[in-house]
Amino acid sequence: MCLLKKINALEPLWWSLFGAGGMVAAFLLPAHIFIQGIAIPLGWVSPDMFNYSSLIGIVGNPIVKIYLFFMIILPLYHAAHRIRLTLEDLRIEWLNHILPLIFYGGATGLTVVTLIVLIRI
Amino acid sequence: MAHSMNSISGKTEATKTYRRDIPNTWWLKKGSYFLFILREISSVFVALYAIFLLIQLCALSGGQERYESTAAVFKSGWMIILHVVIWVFVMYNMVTWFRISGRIFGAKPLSPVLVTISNYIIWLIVSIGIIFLLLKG
Amino acid sequence: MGEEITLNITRYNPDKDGKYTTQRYSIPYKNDWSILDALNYVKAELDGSLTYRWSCRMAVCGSCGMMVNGTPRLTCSTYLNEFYPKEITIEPLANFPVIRDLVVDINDFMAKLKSAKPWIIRKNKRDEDDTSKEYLQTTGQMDKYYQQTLCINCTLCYAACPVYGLHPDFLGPAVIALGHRYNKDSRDEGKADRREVLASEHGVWKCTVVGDCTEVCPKHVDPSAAIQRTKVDSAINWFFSFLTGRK
Ligand code: SF4
Ligand code: FES
Repeated sequence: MCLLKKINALEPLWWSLFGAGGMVAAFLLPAHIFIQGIAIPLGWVSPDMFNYSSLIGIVGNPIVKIYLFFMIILPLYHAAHRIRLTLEDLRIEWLNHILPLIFYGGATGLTVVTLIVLIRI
Repeated sequence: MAHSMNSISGKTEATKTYRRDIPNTWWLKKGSYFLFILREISSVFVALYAIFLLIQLCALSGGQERYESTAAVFKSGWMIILHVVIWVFVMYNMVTWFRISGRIFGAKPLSPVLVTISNYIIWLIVSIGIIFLLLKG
Repeated sequence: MGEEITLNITRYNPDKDGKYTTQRYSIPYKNDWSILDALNYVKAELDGSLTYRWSCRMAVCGSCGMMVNGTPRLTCSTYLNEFYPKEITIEPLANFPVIRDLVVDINDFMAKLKSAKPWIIRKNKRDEDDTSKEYLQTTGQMDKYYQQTLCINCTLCYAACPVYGLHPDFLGPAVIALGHRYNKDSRDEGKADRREVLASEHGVWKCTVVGDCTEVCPKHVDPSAAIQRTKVDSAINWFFSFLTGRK
């Protein structure tokens, strides 16, 4: 109960992360998805960068790591906030109480995972 | 709160008022509500892409063999189709985001349209930058 | 008789069996009649028991709001010619309890409005009574809040807001817009007083930016933008007090 209250009190933080995630999703993701998720798999472009040995080198760069960290975690908080608020509209009272815990907790958990993965590369 | 269609709730002593309940399908009733829900749903695809990136990084940290088998999965036909769907939703998310940020930051002396247009210009420059780095970097 | 137009009007009589019904009225179509004129015709000529609110007939008092074909509108400035020859459905404003026919109970809105303290607050309470003092303001300072002063408390934005409909505790568009209006006034010092209400769990954070409040507002108050700006302000304040440890 106490934890749930604390999570609710952090609403300005969740909203700010949501906003930052919205910026990342709007400005950065379209180009990345288009190249990495569509153009490369379809063979439209074949940059030399996308093989194991070059990628390991590039992702090893701390600046790239920081970029990837925010590119992953901020969109997660963005989605967590929106999905939580949308599900609240179903008006299932017991669920509404734990939605912030599930979604912000989930995003925070994945943030830790991202951090560990990036540090280990 | 009463949840039946025609329920009476005696609010003040003098008059019995009624409240019309909103069905959970309210967002189907109006175009603007539907577009709103579509925007909210687009965030699911935003998260999905972030998780895909994380999976790819995981694979990368797991060595060459694991990376290559994961990369093969992301080259499969249904994965490409899924990425096209993700891309469409992310583009929609972007359009709504720029429209809203125009509204928030477009107060005098700036106008909302000006803010939205400058967002698109920045987006274009950033996107070209990203594509350049990915292809030539 | 000339052309006619059909009105489908929601009726409800709390003293009867407690069911609301829809009644059809055929009335003469006049090109320059507002919906309110049409209602007045029904009341005068067809059914004297029809109950609805109105006063100014010129989009100033904010009392004639109703759902016209599902959209919240001021009936005094919505005209039959927008719909003719189609039928027009007139219902009481959505999201509010209905008292009778087209009259809704806005007590909840009034209480919330008061809670946001939409008046100028001075730290030195004596300032508020001292009428000899002048507070000069530049046009630039006035621009910061002028748009929100245009609100006529018609509550159309509440009828358009699904968040208010689904979560009746939500402060809602106009109340936040009016709190914002005083927060942005250079003469005001009550930001902190209002914050407890505006940034509470039923305040700005509940808003999911559907944006329909702004769409339906007859006075172009743009409550949606006011809410988002209040979010930005509240978040900045939260980080600031978090970093400095001040309340
Ligand atoms: S903000 Fe606009 S719609 Fe809402 S009460 Fe004020 S004038 Fe009416
Ligand atoms: S009657 Fe006053 S606003 Fe319509």
